[in-house]
Amino acid sequence: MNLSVKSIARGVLATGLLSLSLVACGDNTATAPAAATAPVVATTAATTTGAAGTTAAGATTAAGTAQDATKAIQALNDLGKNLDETSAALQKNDLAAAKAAYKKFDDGWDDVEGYVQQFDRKQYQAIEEAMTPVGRELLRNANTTVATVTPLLKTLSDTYNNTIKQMAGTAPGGTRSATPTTKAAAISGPELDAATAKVDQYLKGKADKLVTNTQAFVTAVKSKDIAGAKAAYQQARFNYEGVEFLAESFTDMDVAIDARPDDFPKGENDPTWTGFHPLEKAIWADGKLDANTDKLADKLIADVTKLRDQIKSMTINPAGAIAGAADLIEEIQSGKITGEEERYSHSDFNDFKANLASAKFVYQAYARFVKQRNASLDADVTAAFGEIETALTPYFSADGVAVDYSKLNDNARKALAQKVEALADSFSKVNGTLGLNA
Amino acid sequence: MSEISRRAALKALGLATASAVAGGAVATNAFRPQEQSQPSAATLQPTANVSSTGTFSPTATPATAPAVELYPFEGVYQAGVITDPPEAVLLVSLQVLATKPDDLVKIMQILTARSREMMAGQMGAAAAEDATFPPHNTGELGYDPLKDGRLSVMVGLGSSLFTRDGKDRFGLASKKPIALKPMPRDLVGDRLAGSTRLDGDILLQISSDHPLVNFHAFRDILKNTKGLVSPVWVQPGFQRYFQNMQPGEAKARGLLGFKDGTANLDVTDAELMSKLIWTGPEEPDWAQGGTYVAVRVIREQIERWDRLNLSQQEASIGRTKTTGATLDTKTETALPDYAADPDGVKVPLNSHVRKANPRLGEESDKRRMLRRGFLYMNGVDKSGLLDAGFLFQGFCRNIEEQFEFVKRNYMTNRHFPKQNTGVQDLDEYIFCVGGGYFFVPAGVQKEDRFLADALLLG
Repeated sequence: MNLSVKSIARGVLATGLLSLSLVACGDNTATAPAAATAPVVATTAATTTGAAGTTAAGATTAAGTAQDATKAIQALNDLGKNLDETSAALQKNDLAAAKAAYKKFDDGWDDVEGYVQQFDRKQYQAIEEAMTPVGRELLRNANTTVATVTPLLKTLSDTYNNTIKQMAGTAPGGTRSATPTTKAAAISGPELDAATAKVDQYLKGKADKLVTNTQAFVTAVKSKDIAGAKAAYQQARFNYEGVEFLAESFTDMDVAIDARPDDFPKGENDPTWTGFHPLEKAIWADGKLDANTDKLADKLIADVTKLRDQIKSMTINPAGAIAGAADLIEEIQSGKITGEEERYSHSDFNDFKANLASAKFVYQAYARFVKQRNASLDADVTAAFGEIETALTPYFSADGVAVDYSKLNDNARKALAQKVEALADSFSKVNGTLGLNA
Repeated sequence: MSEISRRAALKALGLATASAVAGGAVATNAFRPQEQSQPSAATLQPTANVSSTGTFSPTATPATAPAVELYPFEGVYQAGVITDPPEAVLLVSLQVLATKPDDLVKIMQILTARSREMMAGQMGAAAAEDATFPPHNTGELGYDPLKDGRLSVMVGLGSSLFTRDGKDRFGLASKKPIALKPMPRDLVGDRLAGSTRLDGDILLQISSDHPLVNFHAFRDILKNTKGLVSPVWVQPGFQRYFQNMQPGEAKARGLLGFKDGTANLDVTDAELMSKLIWTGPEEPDWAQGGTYVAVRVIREQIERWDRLNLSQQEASIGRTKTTGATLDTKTETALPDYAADPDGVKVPLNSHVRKANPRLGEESDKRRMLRRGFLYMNGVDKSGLLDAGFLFQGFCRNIEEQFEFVKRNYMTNRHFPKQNTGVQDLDEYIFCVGGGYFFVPAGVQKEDRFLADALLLG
């Protein structure tokens, strides 16, 4: 996996940090930054279509969103009031007032022109062309007259207002309809809170197990017991992978515990490379435990313990948990399927299973809400989990030890990957279906 | 006259002024982008004279200037850097097989001669063929001169041409451009282990409006350099450009669906190009008026990206997907105000826009580069996932101070702009799998000159 904070996990992180830092203020309603930066919620219903499209040339391919369109129309209407004022001033023969009002329009246009440009480039050009003579007369020609400006302004006003109407879908033309669409209302209520509490408990329980299992691993490493360390490694990793998306909320912790050598300028020889993977290398590739691995082991248990404490102070929210579960599924694909994460122990199937188990737990907690809103989506997700579990079974021994991932042939690798794709695809619609945005 | 052409006129006048002041060949002989170029395809010589485009009278119809169909081979700079990018590219890395300096001269002379003819549309006339010899023109583009297609063959030199394994291969080591070296293997996040698309003695950036034209040029060059060079890696790419965009607006979108090229350097600004792109007196004489290019083959995890919700995608890039505006502004060309958003509440600190161009004033302005990107798709990988992504080309006056500095100190610096910001979020979804650093010598300005002759004969 990579080192970046995932935007998906950011919701969880932010809530966690806010709940830490804002407790004193008693502010429970603070919104996570990720949510604040996200102007739009994507749902399948929120895609606007070109229903009213008649102008083929210059068509913009971008599909905006209802919220964008509303915002745009509001801004254009506000700015348009300056044109009305200009017109009123001209009727009163008040050129000075007309100039002042038009200047406001001209200045403000820069801020909103992007909306029109986005909507239809031809309309945009039409407005700009209509603006040029008005600007020349009102802003630059000291000797202009009301009679000169009035028809020019009318052309501009008509063009401008017609564009707004088209954007609002109340006039024909334009390249797409900006008809607002509705997004699913966010679920809430005590039942949801109970589901979230269950997820909260599960993940925090995993964090405790992570500390216990890492301690066993560290003990084996420090007693130079390579066989014991190999066995303990998988257990500890299993628990780490299960809470990985939470760990990634704390970049420094994730770097300390789970970084790959590629993430450091000096690679495997980088002295700042710490965590599970240099120990994995020492055990499998080098077959050597020494004073240096003792140091790494001490740091690992300290970091894992710190992480556990941080996780326990977080407040899990449904959107963050579901986005995190989606991310666990994606991690299977980008990390494990290419066999890069556990490059020395090749125990990727173990991580694969851990990611899947956590994702499935989270999903099951919220499954009935999904079912209420979209029964076929729930059926798809549930079936996809089942498919992968079945496909994974042959890769584990009776006592649950993963086979060497590097022994997987290309056909089997591809078959597994495509099953993960199917799950990930269905899962990506879960948050939107529940009206949640991570 | 529309507002658009008024702006274009002002911009062009600014350029005219700049070249008048500079009074030098650099500004007036430079290739100019499509919209300001001479309308006739016959005008192959770069006789730039901005005012002669004649569209700046207030009463003139705001017609778009006719498009250039062929790029001239000769010029102060090689075509393929500031010329408008056409729709298809073929990146070719060549290894020099020859061992004598004279052979290197021969290679450059052949590249010059073939590029000169093919860029002029002359693929080889039927009358020139002799039935007793293998044909010169392989024929797949026919025998009539091509009148369009905007073919250019840009040649870059890798550091291995100067020194390889510590050896001065052709006696050129002392003339190596100051910042030329192999692409570093330690850039954080790159996955170069086992890469088959790395470095090269010579880079060809063949670009035109059709993949077949690029392929023809490549095939022709290979055919004419047998025994002298051999291809090491080849990567085709494509793009679809918007028309009539203003400086500061993106001319295309990437595979991730976001606008690409917003706030790219304005190639009509000769002063800016001289400051940030074209090498100057800091380089050996022969290497002045050239540029460096960082080529990066960047694999994108397309399927995974397509499953992110829109707000996640936008937070990762830092822009609104539809308009291209940064998340704190409304329009694509409005400037973000990061000082007013120190904690990244609007534009996340680890978003691409903030990590790639943190807008620190002169300190980051001088790091900017000219981007000329294409997209690629090589089918599917072992897992059945799309093997596709971005062919990044960043042109800089100094590759270490610009491309590499930005990459190391901003984009992959986990503590930039703040402690524990992390690397850019986008690196979760994309990673570099190949590429190289190359030096692009100045253009060929006379018929009796050839590419890099000042290096080889000087």
